Amino acid sequence: MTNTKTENKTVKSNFSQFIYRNKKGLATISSVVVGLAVSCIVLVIMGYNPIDLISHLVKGSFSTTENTWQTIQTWSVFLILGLAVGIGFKAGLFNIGVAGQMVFGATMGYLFVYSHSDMNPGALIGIMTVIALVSAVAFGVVAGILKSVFGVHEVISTIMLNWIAVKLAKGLIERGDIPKTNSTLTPLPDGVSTTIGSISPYITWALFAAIVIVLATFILFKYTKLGMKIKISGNNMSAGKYAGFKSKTIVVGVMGLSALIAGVAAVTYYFGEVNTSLSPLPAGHFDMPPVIGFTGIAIALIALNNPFAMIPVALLFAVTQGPAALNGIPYGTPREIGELFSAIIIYFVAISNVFIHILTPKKVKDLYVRITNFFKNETIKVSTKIWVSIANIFTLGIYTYAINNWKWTQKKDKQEAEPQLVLNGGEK
Amino acid sequence: MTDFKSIISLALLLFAIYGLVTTAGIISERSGIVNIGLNGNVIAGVLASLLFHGVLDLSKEVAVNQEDAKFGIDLASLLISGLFGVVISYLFSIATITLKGDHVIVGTAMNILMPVVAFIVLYLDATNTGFFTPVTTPGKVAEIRMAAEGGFDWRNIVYFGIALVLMASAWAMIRFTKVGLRIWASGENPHALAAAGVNVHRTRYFAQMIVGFLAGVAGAMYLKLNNGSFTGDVGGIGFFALAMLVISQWRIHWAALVAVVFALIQSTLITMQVKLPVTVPKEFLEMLPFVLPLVVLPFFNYFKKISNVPKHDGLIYDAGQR
Repeated sequence: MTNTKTENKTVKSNFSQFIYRNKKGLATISSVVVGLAVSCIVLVIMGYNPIDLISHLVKGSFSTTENTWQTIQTWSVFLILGLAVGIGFKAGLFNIGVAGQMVFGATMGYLFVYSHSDMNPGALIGIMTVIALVSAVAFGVVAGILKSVFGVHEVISTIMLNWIAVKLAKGLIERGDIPKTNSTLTPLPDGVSTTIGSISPYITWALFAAIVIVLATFILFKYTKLGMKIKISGNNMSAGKYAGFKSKTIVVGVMGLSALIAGVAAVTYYFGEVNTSLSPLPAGHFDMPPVIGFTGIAIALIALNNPFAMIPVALLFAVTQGPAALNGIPYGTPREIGELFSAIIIYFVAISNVFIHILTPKKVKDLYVRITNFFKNETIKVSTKIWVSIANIFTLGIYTYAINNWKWTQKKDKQEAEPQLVLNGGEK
Repeated sequence: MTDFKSIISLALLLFAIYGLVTTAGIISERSGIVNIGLNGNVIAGVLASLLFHGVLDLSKEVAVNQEDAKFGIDLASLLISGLFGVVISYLFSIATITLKGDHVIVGTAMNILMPVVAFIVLYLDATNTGFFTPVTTPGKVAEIRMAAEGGFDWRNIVYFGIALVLMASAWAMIRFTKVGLRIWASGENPHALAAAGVNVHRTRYFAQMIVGFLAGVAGAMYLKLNNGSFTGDVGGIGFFALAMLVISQWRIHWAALVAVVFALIQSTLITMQVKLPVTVPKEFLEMLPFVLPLVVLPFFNYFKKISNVPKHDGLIYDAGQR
């Protein structure tokens, strides 16, 4: 008798322990699911069929061998970006500057390629890679030094450095000695790219770099002293100081390492596919920091900085933002939809702590009781009750009006009736 | 002379925009919340203004060639955008204040989200025709306007006045009123504020509402600056404002001065770009506002007396930590 009772208890506690131990992971997964659901709702309001759209995205990513290689390329670049941000997170540094480091490295490499375009292509690629990596690292180290020596918070300094990189790139490319046609950059000369032609023109050595970096970061943080030091000083700066670590050097070094990985991503992303729609280096692209630089933040956050968990997460982002979305028109999936997914998912992952508490049935019941109590309570003024109910009815009314009058219900009428709309001041 | 006139005319509008967004950022950080999503808030303002204009034009209630009526609509759109900004600011404040999310991450999400939402609402729908057709190609800031008019625009004085009044009242609110003092305290020591019996969350929500309003108004003004053309991106004005709030060291009256300087620089650059055949190294001068914070911050970190950073800035307020 007693035995069965204790067994039952242990089973129960095992289950609750499992939930308790994986609290964070479960909360993150549920936040991703909720994020996807909310973006689907948004798409319904916009007039899309989300199920169709998602199936289009998956089909577009893997339908042909070409697309599959492109997806794998995007996947590995996203993986590298996630690792770049994740290493910063391990050391307690928030590297938003991945975009700027990528842009600066790519620009320097680009300028070098054009000033020495008569060199042997192989040597050119090698030197270009080194230059791009070194300049990206230099850009990251600036933020690290500002943090460790002058006490400038890395979020502010990297945001500013992002914009400096963008303006610098635009100025250098527009004023540099580079052949331009119609303010768009001419593609790189033949044979100069980081692609591996023997496999597919769409795949670069990003794939191998990603594998190497995943293993390297895993080993660094699992088995080496240095990784332990980085983790400790990231968790608690003063603890690291008391233990005698050179925390300032660690900050600079980690920023440099993060920027180095960002530089690898830049080299493989911007110098990858030649003459395809995925080669994104027109001059106009540099009006603002590229969104791809912020994708790494989302990937690292969702994967909870685990390098192996980043692999499936990066795949999710490669499908939503990869070739299927970029070459969207044949598949009916414009590029912005991938960004919509990623923005909403980041938003929900940022508040993922809530899902630990909010999703229990008890809390939902509490909310219901609270609302009913609000109207039952006699100490609250009647006027406030009326105001609150009016506000609720008003929002409900707006919602129903929007549902009934939104364009996807009246699409055909509007298309026929409306002439081209020119906004105020446009005709001058 | 016309050059000078147009520089001043443009600078007035630019001052209004920069000043309002920077004031919004300062109020947010004074209440202890780092709002990186300011850029998204400005975009929301532009979106609301565009939709308002679009709705009015669709219903054909206003005669087409009446300049005064149009200017009236513009002024009304400032209010509409401000109110829409307040609504959008709830997205940010719920996540950061009630749900205790990381400010920087939520801000990043807002910055990615709002341009996409604006783009999808304006230019995409299931038939790929769009609710509105783009008026012009993605224009550089105000170049079109300058090329078309090349003189003094009296409307900009009105915008300038509105911005000045809003900034002055924000400054006075922070300085002299009870609410302003509470906002200040929630950025310096929210636990002390809570001990004094004030609801910290409510104070921060109020501050974020002001932020949303100011940023939304600035967004509506940006639409005027860009001559009604918009492609889902405001050229990073929110980040520009972050730079300016660092340079002005979280003080609204300094921010006004900084905004004057940058507005003059920017308008001179734009006007010269249109008028003169000589190529000015524009990008390098545009870089200046982003380089200055990196110089100013170490300086103020050294001279701690002048530095004025809110002490609880960017930290998550948790009542259990007291």
